[in-house]
This record gives sequence, C-alpha cells and structure tokens, in this order.
Amino acid sequence: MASLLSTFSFKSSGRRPRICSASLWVALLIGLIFTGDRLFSVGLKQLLLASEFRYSNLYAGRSRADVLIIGNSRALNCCYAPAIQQKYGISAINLAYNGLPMEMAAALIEDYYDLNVPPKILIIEATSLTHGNYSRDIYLYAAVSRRLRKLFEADLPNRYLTEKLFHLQTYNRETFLRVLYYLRRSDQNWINRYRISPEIVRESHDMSTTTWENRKENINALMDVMSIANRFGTRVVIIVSPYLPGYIDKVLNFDAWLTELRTLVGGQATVWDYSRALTDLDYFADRVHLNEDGSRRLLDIMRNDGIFVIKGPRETDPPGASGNH
Amino acid sequence: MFSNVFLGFLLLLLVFVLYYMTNQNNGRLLVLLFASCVFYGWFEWKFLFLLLFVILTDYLVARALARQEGKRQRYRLLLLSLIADLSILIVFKYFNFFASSFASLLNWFGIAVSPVHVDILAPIGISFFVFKSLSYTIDVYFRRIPPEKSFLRYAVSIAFFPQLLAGPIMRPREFLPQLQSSRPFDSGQMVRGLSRAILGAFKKLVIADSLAPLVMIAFDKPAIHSSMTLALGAIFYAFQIYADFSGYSDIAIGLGQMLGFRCVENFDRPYVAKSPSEFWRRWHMSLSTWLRDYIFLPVFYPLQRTFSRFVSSAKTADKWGYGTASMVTMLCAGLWHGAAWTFVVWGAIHGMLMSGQRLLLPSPRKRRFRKPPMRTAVSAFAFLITFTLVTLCWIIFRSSSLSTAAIYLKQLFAFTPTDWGAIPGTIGVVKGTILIIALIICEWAAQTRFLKQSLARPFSWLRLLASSAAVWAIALFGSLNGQPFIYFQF
Repeated sequence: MASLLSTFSFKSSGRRPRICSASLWVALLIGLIFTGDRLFSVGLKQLLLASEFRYSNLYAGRSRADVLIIGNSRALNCCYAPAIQQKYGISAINLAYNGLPMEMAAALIEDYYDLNVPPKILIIEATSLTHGNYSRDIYLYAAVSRRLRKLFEADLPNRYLTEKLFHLQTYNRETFLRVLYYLRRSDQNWINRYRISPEIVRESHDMSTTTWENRKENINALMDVMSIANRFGTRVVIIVSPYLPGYIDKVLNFDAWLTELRTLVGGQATVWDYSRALTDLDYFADRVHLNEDGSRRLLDIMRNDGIFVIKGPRETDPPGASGNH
Repeated sequence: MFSNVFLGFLLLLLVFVLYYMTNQNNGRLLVLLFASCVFYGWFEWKFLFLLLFVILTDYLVARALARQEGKRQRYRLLLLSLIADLSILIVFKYFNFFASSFASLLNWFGIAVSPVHVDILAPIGISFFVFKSLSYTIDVYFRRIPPEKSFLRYAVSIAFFPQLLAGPIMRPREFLPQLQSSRPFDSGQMVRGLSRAILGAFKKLVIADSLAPLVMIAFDKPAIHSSMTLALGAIFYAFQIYADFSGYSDIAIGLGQMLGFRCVENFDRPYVAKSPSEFWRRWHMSLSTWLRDYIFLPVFYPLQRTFSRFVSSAKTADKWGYGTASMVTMLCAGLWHGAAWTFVVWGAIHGMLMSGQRLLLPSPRKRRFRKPPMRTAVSAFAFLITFTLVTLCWIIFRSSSLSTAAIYLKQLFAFTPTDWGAIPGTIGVVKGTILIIALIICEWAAQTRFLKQSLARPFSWLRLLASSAAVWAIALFGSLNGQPFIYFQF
C-alpha cells in the first residue's frame, strides 16, 4: 500500500523533468494558432464584404433599389430582379435564400434599413412564415450583424462558442464559397432555368395532403418588419407565388390560412394570392418553384395588378425627377 | 459533438498530467490502464468485460505455457486461447453472417430454412485487440518471447487507449519491452507526437470528411450516375479511406509518442506501389505483417513442401505455395474487415492479384528494362495499373452488397457521356480534387531531403508552422458533422 501511494508522490526523485522546451513550443504553437486565426479572419472578412453576393452588398452598404424581395427559395425563383429592371425600368434586389424563415428575413431587412437606403416596395413571399428551421448558411454574416449573432447564439450555442474561439470557423460554410464565386459578379441572376420533368408532374398527383401553420416567431417578425417599413414609407406587399396546378389543393387549410394572414396584417400590407395564377407547366422548375420564364410571366401579372407602382422619385430616376409611375 | 470533443480534450489533458506527475512505472501504467478502461467504456461500458476477459484469458494461458514443457499440454493451452479469442470474434462479429450464408446455401440446394438472426452489437475495436492478444499467446507458445509476469503491464499492452479502437496492431512482443521501464519525459518526443496527432486530425477532418459527400452520393445509387461521377466517386473513396485510416493512425502514434512510446508505423505511401504485393507492404502494415507472420508463413511452408513432392521444379512449388498461401491470407484479411461477402470478395481479388503477380510476372532479378527511360515508363505503367486495380477493389469493399458493386462497375465501364453540370455537388468535387492534389504534394514533399532534415529537429520553425497551418485548415475546411472513423466498424 505504501509503495502504491508513493507512486503518486509529488516529490521528484532524481532529475527534474525537462518540460520547459516542450511547454515553450506548445505555448508558441497556441500563440501562433490564435494570432493566425485572427489575422486570416480579418482578411476573409474583407473578402466577405468586397463580394457582390447579395448579403455582402447589404452589409457593405452598397445596396440601393426601389424594390426589395425577400423570402425562401420560392421568393428566389418567383421574382427575377434583373427582369424587373429590364421590363419596367425599376431597380430591384432579391435578398431571398433557400429555406429562409421570416424570423431570419426580419433580421436581414432590419439590417438593410440600418445600412442602406430604404426601398419603396418590400415584397415578401408568404410561405416563409411557416418555416421552423433556420437557414444556417446565413450565419456567415453573424460576423457583421448583431441581429444574426443573436439568432445564431440561440440556435447553435456550441458552434457559436467555437466560432468565438476560432474565428476562421465562421468561414467554414458553403455560403462563403458562393461569396468567393460572386466576388466580381452579381448574384442576382441566380434562378432556376430548367423545366419540370413529367415524372415529377405525375408524382405530384399522388402527393398526400397537408396543412400549413404559421410559426408565432415568424408572425412577430413580420409585424416588426411591417412596422419599420411603414415608418420609412415602404409599401409592403405579401404574395403567395404560384404552385404547380393541383398542388395547392393538397393544402387542406389554405383558404383559412390566407384569411388569417390577411386579418393579421390588416392595413399594414396587401396580400396577393398568386398560388393558382399560372397553369402552363413550362413555367415550373418543380412543384413549388417557378423557373425564369415563369417568373417573367408572374411579374407581368404583378405589374398589371399595380404592385410595381411607385409614388415619388425612384432609385433609377435621374436627380430632380418627381412624379408617379 | 462539440461538448464531447471538448470533454475528450480535458480528459486527455488530465491523463497526461497524472501520467507525468507519477514517478514510478507502475503508477504510470495504472494511469494508462484506468484511462484505457474509461476510454473504451465511454462507448459501451458492458464491452469492458469482454476486453478484460480476453486480456485475462491470454495472460493466464501464457503463464501456464511457461510452466508446461510437454508438447501436447502446451498445444492444448494454445488451442484454449485460440478458441476463447476466436469464439468471441465469431459470436459477436460473424454469427449472423455465417448463419445467413449457411441458410442461403441450403436454400440454393432446395432445403427451405429461415436463417437464425441474433441482435448483437459488435464491440468496437474487437478485431484489433483480439489479434493483439492472439499474437501474444502464439509468440509465447513458439518461445519467441517469455510470458509477461505483470498482469498490469500485459493489460496495458492490449488495452492501450490510443491503439485500442483502430490500431496500429502493436504486438505485445514489440510493446511489452517499452512498458518494462519508466520512460523519462522527452520534450522532443512530446512535440513530435503532438504535431503528428495534429496532422492526423487534419487528414481526417479536412481531407477524408471533405471527400465523403460525393462518395456517399456515388455509392448510394450508382445506377443513376454517369461513368465520370462513379470514377470520381471511386478515386475519392480511395483517398478518403487512406486519409481517414492513416489520419487515425497518426493520431494514435502521436499520442503514443507524447506518452513516451515508439509505435509501429501503419502506412508508407501505399498509392505509390507498383504491384499488389508492394501495396500490401505499404498499406495497414501492422495488419499485413500480422497476417504474414501468423497466417501466410505457417500456411506457405507446409504447402511448399507438399507441392515440391508433386512438381519437379522447386521454383514452381514455391510459386504455387505462395499463390495458395496468398489466397488463404487475403481471404482472412477480407473476413477480418467485416462480416459481409463484399469484404470476402475484396480479399479474394487481392489474393488473386498477388498470386497472379507471383505466378506470371518475372522475378525482379530477371526483369528487363533496368535503365531509364524504359525503366521509368515501365514503373509509371506499373504504378497506374496497380492504383487502378486497387481502386476497383475499393469499389467492392465500399459497396453495401455484391449486387450494388456489380451495378457500380457495370455503370462505370458503360462510359456514359459526361454532363459536367450534372455531377452532384460540383463545389465539393472541386474542393475534394484540390485536397487530394494537396495531399499528394505534401506526401511527396515530406520525402525530400530538405523537409526530412528540417523535421528531424523537433523544435523546428517548420514543424511549428505546419502544425499551425493544419489547425487553421481544420477550422476553415474541416467537416463539423462528426463523421466516425471508417475503421472503427472493423
């Protein structure tokens, strides 16, 4: 027993272990790792803000447009921003992203208002109100947005902590590769260009029914966004973009959901139901997304409904212009 | 995953502190054994009993062998050890495979039988520690090493936590002498070990895990992909499994070095091999040498003697003996990897390649084209052929079944037109290709005299920079999905 206890003695017997060289090397290693981490992440942050990717422009304060579009992938594919510019001479920016819920969209919109000239029209695709999952790619911009950081910390606390420790990890996302890809080119031409396959059309007939429910956090976020938009004179338009014919019939409570939405927004926004507006299958990339042709057709419909009417000078007008359009 | 990794780091740090705070060898061994039990029990505490059973059985058998002089008694003791160890492997790893295969065979003969299926979870690392322990009793039986008197030392040699789950298979005859004396703290060894472990983590988290997505897509439904996608999937898998396994080995060897031990190397740039046999001298060397010493040679020598009675030429007897022994050895290698026909067929093909190489190719002394440029051309050709054959074998190894492997190979050799836009995950493909090229360049550079001399010094600036760069790369490119090591399943 005594010999066992003595094995754990703190007294050194014989030569003192030479830990100084190893400790110094390890200390240098740790120092170099953290120094390099901070230096490289500063450089990458500059790259992030220099890119032409939609959110980089937003956070660099370079975004200027009369029409701002936001939502999930349906918003990404239903309102083709370059077409709005080409067809109607109105500047537009699409800030939508795959799977973006309204709660995150609100953070982006509020940051947009803080850093850029407010738009005249804000178009929100309504199905982002039903999303529960966050679009975690967007947390790349948590490095430059306090609002996104708050969402990030609540959503992924462990990863948030590791990114506080290792800043380089912030850029370990697919979004950053997109940022690099769009370093010197605009990403506003990002849209589906393919046509739905006959197999998917056939399969959609056998789809099971579903019901939609708005997430409370998304509704609260929408209220905040409408409040800010109205304060800055922005007209808010909420749309339900087209679905493949027959799809919306599978949503059992669609009419009730739409009525509830209209009641919620009251006079702060107009709600337009385009879910059944297009029936030509060539306009669809899949069951829930339009392609470029479909988007152009939808924009014509929206234009005819007066959605793109702008009162006051436009971003695309020369200085001194006044009137209604 | 983050909290597990963080906790793991803290525990590792605690182990190192306790280890080096103790002065006596027994104290250090106790720390190692306790750490190994905690490490293994973390995954499933019940399997600790299995590990302890294997250790205790072979320890007692070896002690009994030392007291026995009679050939028959010693043979019975060895048999006891073999039966005990292999039974555990068979029950926990192979029972369902043998049962279902036997039932399929009977069904094929028209005898309707439903296979017996038992829900057993195979203990992690079972193939590794059983082989380690087996080699000990075999070596003691053949009097290559004396039996270890200290149970503590023997237990640590088998359960040593850096090597416990996926090797290297360091045999007790190599490890026990190192455990007999207290190892003084060596700062150079500590630094070398730490940088080696960081390199291993880089290989696993950055290279292997980055290649995984395309591999999964290609192997999940091979029938729907183009030949180019499948070719990329196969090449990516070849490098994924190499980076994954050699990365784990680097971590294990590095941790061992930090604790003052010299561990056997497991890989020596296997994809530069110019023949199947050379591939196995460079790939998973701790397993291939184990198989050579305990299966191949015991099978080869008797077969060679047997064949020489029937053929006039000693060389022919030698070749036939080699070919047969290679087949038996590689079938065992295939089975060792897993309880599925894909592994058996993979092993059989490697056995055929090695046999074919010995039977058909001239011996090195008799080969023509010894001078450049023909020698260079022949070497390049041999390297390409070997890499292609090994990669094709990996397709069978990775596939979920033989039929999936057949579909994969059929679609691969259909040479369907390439639609570059349709290759899934283009960004991942570009990233993976760049990483493979970077790995090849780094491994080539490590062989240059400049780097060898620079890295020979433990405290060199190059080592410091390389280790830092590896950590930056892990932060920037590493996969955060917590993919398990591939060889944990074997």
